[in-house]
Amino acid sequence: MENAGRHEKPNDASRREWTGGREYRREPVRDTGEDYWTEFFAGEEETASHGTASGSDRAENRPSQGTAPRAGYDRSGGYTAAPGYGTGRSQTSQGTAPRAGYDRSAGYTDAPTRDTGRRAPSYGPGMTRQPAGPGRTSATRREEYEPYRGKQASRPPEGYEQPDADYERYTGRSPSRTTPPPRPPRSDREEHPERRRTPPPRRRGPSPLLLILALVLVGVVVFAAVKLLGQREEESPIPDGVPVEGTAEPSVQPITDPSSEPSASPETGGETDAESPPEASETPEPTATPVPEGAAAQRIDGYIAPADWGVTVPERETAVYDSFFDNACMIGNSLMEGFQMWSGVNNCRYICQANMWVNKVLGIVDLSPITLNPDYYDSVYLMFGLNEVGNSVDSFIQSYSDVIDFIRQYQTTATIYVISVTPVTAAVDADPGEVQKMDRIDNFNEKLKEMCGEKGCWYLDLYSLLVDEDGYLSADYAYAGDGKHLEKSGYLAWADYMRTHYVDEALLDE
Amino acid sequence: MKKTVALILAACLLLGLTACGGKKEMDGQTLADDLLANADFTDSLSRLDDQVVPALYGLDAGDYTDCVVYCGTAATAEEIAIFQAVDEAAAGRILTAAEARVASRIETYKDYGPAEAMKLEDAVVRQSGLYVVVVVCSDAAGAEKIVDQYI
Repeated sequence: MENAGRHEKPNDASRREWTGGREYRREPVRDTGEDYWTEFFAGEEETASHGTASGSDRAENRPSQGTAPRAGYDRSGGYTAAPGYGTGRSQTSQGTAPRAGYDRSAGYTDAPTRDTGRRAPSYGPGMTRQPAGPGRTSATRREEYEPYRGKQASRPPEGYEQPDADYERYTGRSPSRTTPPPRPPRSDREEHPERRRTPPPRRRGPSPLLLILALVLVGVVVFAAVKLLGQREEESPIPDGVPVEGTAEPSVQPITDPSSEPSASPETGGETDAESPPEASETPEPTATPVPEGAAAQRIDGYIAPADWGVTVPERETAVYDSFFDNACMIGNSLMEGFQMWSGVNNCRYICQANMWVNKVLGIVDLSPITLNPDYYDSVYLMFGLNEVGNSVDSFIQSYSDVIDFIRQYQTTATIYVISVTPVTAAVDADPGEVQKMDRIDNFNEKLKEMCGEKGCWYLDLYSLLVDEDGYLSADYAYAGDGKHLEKSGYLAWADYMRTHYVDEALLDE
Repeated sequence: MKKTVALILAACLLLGLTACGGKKEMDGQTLADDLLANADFTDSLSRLDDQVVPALYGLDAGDYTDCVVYCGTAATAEEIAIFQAVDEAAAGRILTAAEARVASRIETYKDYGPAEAMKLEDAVVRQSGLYVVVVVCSDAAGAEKIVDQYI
């Protein structure tokens, strides 16, 4: 047979190594003219008696030739070899040599070779060999090859996996089916191990560590800024409209008509208060105001009392600073409490609370600032009446006089101001459920003026400031909630009124 | 990438931990604004001058570092007072003065304004650490809930 030329023709030693120690026999295949099927099973009886396919066994168990398989093309195994190499052992007789061909159990089958003097290449297509395992009986072989009957021998049965013919032939063993196929690589790193030591691609932009440091720095800066802003906001701003002590510059009020009240008179002398501010830039149209006769004030037992001009505190040309109230004491009801909260006059002493009645001052209200500091205060302001206006005016005046006498005992040189009863809104005046009526308020104020004349006190006409042209509490100052108390604007106007209506020694000279 | 995210989160946690520990900080103005906006007041409250507060409450100005006081027009007893004391002892004194003020005002408003007296009886007077909060309004429960969010 032809050598396919794919392999070199080895010698015996290398062939045994190549084939794994197995001996291959070649047998001449003679063409008996029989068909494949018959021919295939022709020598099965002989084949079954041969045992193993070991070359060494074969030599000992070499039967007589008998029906020797023929050389030629075997459909199961391709070309079958002519008698190939001898193993060096003499072959006596072959007898019924096993048939060469393809055996499903063992693959290619080599029949015992018979040295016919013909030599065939050891390798090439169609080489056969002895079956590796024990021989099979004809019955089993018929069963095995039953599916092939009438079919192309070269077509394997279904499900059969054609082994690699070259692999078996040249290595002497079947490819192992137990070896699992190579595992696919799990990742690119495993598939491409050469990349394992490749550094990662360089990122574009700043590194993450720099970003983190930048975030921390921004956080610290924001925190510090918030802290600084918080400290700046701690500085309490000056309330709007509230004059600060020592810096206020109230505008100068024009001189009122003296025919109504001997209130205002221009000062010709020098400044009695060294801290009086200069005149405001805005000056009203000068009018010829007649000067009231007599004195504006007089000194009685050390304190300054009203004189010929009446008890109403006159309007002064210059306003005083809030320092004028340093040694002032303010005693009163809820309106005085509102004045304490919103007027901005914070440097004086306040003795006030809601629902304070004049008949409750003595014996109930704590007057220790008055009693424990004799002759300390330069001025004492009293404000009562809005709560008592529904009661008897005489009892009210009597209680009020008692309070003035009590204060006078401890503050002998203080100027006592009696603040008028404040007006109410038209709604309150019209409400039948309210006791505060404008006519009663007017009556109480008149009685207060009389009491001031008797007691040497000054009457602070706050009523004229707060009343509107209709004779009710102005909506600019009224607290809409009850129509009696004042809004913050009312208290601020009240403070301004007090800065321009005050009593000092300058009145004594006029 | 995962390491970067983990580092950023760790930095954020670190910054957040700076707020932990020590006493809880509170901004009195923020609480006052919240109360003015969300609590029920019948009177229009305005912030009181800080110079008036010691005399009004009978306090020593050195006992607190910050005060936020809102009062009405003296027609009602409604008010908001938030003090930040210098120490625990001063906070105790402020609390005592606040309670005394509320009690005296209850006596004052008993026959003067019963509705105001009821507000004073339900007043929120609370101390937490260095903070003393007084709230007198129509809805004490709502004011208490707002105050609880801060202290």
